[in-house]
Parts: sequence; C-alpha cells; structure tokens
Amino acid sequence: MKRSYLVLLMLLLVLPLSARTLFMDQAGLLDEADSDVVQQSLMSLSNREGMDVVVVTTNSYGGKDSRSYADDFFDYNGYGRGVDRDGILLVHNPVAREYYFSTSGHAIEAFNDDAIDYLEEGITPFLRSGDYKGAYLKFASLAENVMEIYYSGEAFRREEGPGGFFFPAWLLVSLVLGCVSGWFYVSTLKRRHRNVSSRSDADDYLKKNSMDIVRDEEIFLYRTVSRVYRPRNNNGTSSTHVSSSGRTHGGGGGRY
Amino acid sequence: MELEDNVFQCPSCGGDVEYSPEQGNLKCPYCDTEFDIDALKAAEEILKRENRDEFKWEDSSFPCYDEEEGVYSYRCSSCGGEVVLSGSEISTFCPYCGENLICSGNISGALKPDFIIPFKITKEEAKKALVDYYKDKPLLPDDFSNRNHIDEIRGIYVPFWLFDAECEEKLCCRAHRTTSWPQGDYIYTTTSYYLVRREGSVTLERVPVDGSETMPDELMESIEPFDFSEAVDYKTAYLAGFYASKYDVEASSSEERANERIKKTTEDLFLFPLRARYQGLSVASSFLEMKNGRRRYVLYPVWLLNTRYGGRTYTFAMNGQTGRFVGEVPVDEKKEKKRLVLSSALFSSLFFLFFFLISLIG
Repeated sequence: MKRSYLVLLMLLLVLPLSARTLFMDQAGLLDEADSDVVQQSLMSLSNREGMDVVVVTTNSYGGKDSRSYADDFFDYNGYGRGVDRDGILLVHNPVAREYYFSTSGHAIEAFNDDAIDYLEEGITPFLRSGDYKGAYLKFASLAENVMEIYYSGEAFRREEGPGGFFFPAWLLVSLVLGCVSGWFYVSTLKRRHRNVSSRSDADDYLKKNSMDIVRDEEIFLYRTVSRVYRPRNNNGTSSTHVSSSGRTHGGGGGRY
Repeated sequence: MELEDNVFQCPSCGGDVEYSPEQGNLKCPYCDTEFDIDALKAAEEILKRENRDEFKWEDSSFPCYDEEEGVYSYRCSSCGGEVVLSGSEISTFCPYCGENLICSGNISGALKPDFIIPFKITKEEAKKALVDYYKDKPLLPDDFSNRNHIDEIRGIYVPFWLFDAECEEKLCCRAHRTTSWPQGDYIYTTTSYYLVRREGSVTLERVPVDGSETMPDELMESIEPFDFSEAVDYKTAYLAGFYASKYDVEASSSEERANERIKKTTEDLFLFPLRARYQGLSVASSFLEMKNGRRRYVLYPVWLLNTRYGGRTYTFAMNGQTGRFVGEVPVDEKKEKKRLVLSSALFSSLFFLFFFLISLIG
C-alpha cells in the first residue's frame, strides 16, 4: 500500500514534548496560517492532557472505509502517548462528506459513546457550513472538556456536557414553574375555605376488642417463575473494535 | 379448569397440562407454572358460592311525646325548615335562613328521643372559633367577614339515628407474593398465587346517621364523632334556649347509609392485615351478615350559622360537644386573581434567581 505521504513521527512517552504534526491536511483544506493555528491548538492540548489529539484530512480512503482508515492512520503513524498509546484521531473526508473519530488506549474509555455523540454534535454544524478550521478547533475544545471529565474520575454523560446559562430558556422554565407554584399556592388557600368531608366508614364506632377471627387461611393455587436479563452496571459504554494491526480502537463517525 | 380426563388448563398461560398421578403438583410444560390441582378446584368451589350481604335491623318501638310536654313544631315560611322548640314562643327566627318561623302546633305523638348529649361548648366559644376560622383566609371577601352576623349563630339539637350491629364477615381474596433473586446473568422472579379466606365477627356501636332532611349528611359526618358516654336520658328541659331539628328521615331510610359505613369498616378491618402479607391483593368476595341490629333515636348538639352571600348559602357547623367544626366561606375572585398573579411573579423570579445562581456555581 502506498504510504509515501506519511510523515515519520517520534513516539515520546514523557517530556520534552515533540513537535510532531498533529494536523495532517492531506486534502489541503486550510491555508498555511490556519493550519498553524490548528496545529498549535492540537499540540498544546495534547501536551496539556497527555493524549494525542490528531486531525487528518483526506480526499480518499485508499480503498478502506473511514473507520479502518482512521484506525490504521493512528496505528501506523505511531500516534498515541504512553504504553497504551492514548489518543484520539479525527479523519475528515470533504469529498465523501464524512468524518470519523478513532480512539485508542485510555481515550477509548474517556471518549465513550456519549462523548463521541457530543463531539459529533459539536463539529457537524461547522463542517456543513464549510468552516473547517472552526470544526477542528471546536473538536479540540470539546475533546478537552471530555478529557477533563475523564481525569476527574467521572464517566462522560450526555447531560453533563457543559452548557452555558441560556437566558430565554431558563426564563421560560422559571415562568412555567412559577405559575405552577402560584397556582398551587392559591389552590391551597382556596382549599382552606371548605373543610367539609363525608365519612364513608364507621371506624370511630368499632367496639374495642370485639373482633373475633374464626378463619384465617391461605390456599396455594399456583406458582410462576420468570427471568429477565440482568444488564451489567456500567458507567457509560464505549463501543470498541479491533483494527488491522490487531489493536483495539473505539470511536464513531458519520456523514454531514 | 378440567377439560377432559386428566387434562387441565394451566392457570397462568392457559396451555393444556396432562396430569400424571405420581407427580403430585402439576407443572405446565409451556410456562413452568407449578400448580396444585386440588387446591384450584377447591378455590373454584369457594368462589362459586353465592352470598349476599344481610342487614337485619330490629323494629324497635320508640316512646312518643305527649301533649303535656309542651313541645311545639315550627315551620319556616321561607326555606321550609322545621324545628322543634319547647314552649310556644310567639315569634322566633329560622336557624337555617333567619326568616320568621310559624308555629305549626304541638308535636304530641311524634317520636321522642332516647338520649341527648347536652351542649358543652358555649355560644361565646363557638363565636370565637368562627372568628378564628375567618382569620387565616386572605381570599375571604371583606364584606363577608365584616358583616356583623356572627351573633346569629344558633344552637340546634340535631336528631340522629344510632345503629348498633354485630357483624359476621366472610372475606375471600385473591393474593400473590413475589420473590426475586439474581442468578448468573438473569434475575429470577417467582410469583405464588393464593386464595385467602378470613372470617370472623366484630361489633359496631352507635354508628350515627343524621335524621334531619334539612341538615346535609356531609356536614354532619364532618363534625363526627360525638362522645356517647356523655349522653343522658332525654328530658324536654334540655331543649330550653335551643332549637331542635325535627326528625324527618325515618329510621328505615337512614339504614342504607349506616349499612354502607358498617360494610366499609368491617371489610377494611378484615382486609387490613392482608395488605402487609401480600404484594398483590384483590377482594374476590366479601359477605357481611349482621345480627342484633338495633336503632336508637338521639339528639346531638350542633352550633350552626348559615350565611347568604352572592346567591349561595355558606354554612358553619360545630360539634357542640367536642368543638370540632367545619365550614365553607366564599372566595373573592378579585383577590384570588391578584394573589395568583403576584405569587406567580414572585415564584418565577425566585426560580430564575435560583437557576442563575446554580449556573454561576456550575
């Protein structure tokens, strides 16, 4: 297979940090200045978080599908930090209008299915509008959020995705809750205006100790047994698969 | 259940199950349900038995008023309410609507109560309770509470029929109990189905039913119970200074209400311990047989104030023995709307502030 375009990268386990290319613009989508910005952003992020965060653009998968291409690109170019080769790689194909995230090592766990959805939702609007630089930078910033949560010992959950204080939405929610509470309060006041209630029982008139039980039996009729599958208790799931090099990868992707 | 010789229907899935004598209990090959065919047959027999609740009330003879006792009946020309007063006062006001009452004659020959509970709560105490009742009601119309009508509160002896009964209950329920346990990759659940029978007897004493048509049953039931231990033999002298509502609901007409209440209490009493024993419980049959049902006629003390407002009558009623009271007062719509708007605005602001602070922390 032709791999002449591949750049040889050094695998560094500890500091000092490498100056490897983490942004491989094979499709030539960005100009030099923008490429530099993305490269710098990915590099500083990777160094900060201790996982390689890579973006690759290509116009062709060379006969593979997006997943194998992403996995192989990651494996054969020696990306990933530490013994487990921790890292995440985004392949973007502007011709097929596809993207794929490949995760490796600890990134498989960090970027669980919820996190991959979170990344997808973050970058697809940029990809659709053709703002590729924006998409890659968004990818970097969202990936950082996910890794922060991972390092805090939590599993990433969809609803935990950091969101700002969205003014009109909260105003509406407050109004609805406020009106419901107001209505409830006034109903409570109104209820105090009437305390008439009929008695359907005669419990007050039972003669003390007059109860005498002469029969108290249970007749067994039948017994049924059923079983249900017990789901494993998991903190967020990460779907995984094995790449051509025999290593395990996680991730996911789609079209835009 | 039995389709043909030795073939039975599974009670759970309805599949045909063949019976082999050496097995003992049957096991359905389709759903693994185990069942005891003899018990199922016995249960079917029990459920087939038809019974009806039986309430038998003794026909007791009651003493009647004679002319010398000087008890007169008065009728209201406006609302039609009828009251009984001792002595023929020339004019008096209807305790229900405040209009003039017209004497309709001596009530000699009418039933005389067996017992009476004299008033224990004074008029002043009743008035104070009413004033307090108005206090914590911000939606009360000002012109309703400002009206100087509290003095019109009246003490009325209300006729009640009291029912005593010894009840025999036969309760039959379908019930099930469930246990679950994890094993390997599965959670297993076993549900055992039973027919539960509980039978026995219980005595109820002095279940009251209001015997006055003019007094709403709901209102009188709301101020229950009265403590019968303080009841004394009836004497006309107790009526002095008070009204007495004339009984106009025959004992036999009140029976139905008494029966309903007795049935409910008896059934609940027998059912109650079963609720803790089983996860699922439904009454399959419940039969009550009553013995020695006895009725008595008594007068119970009630403070009453009816107020007309906005075309409706609002009633305040108080148990003249225990002080327990019920009432209904009107709602001022303008005040209600104002409160609703203001409180909604306040709550909305608080929620908004809360969310805002949360977002700052998060």
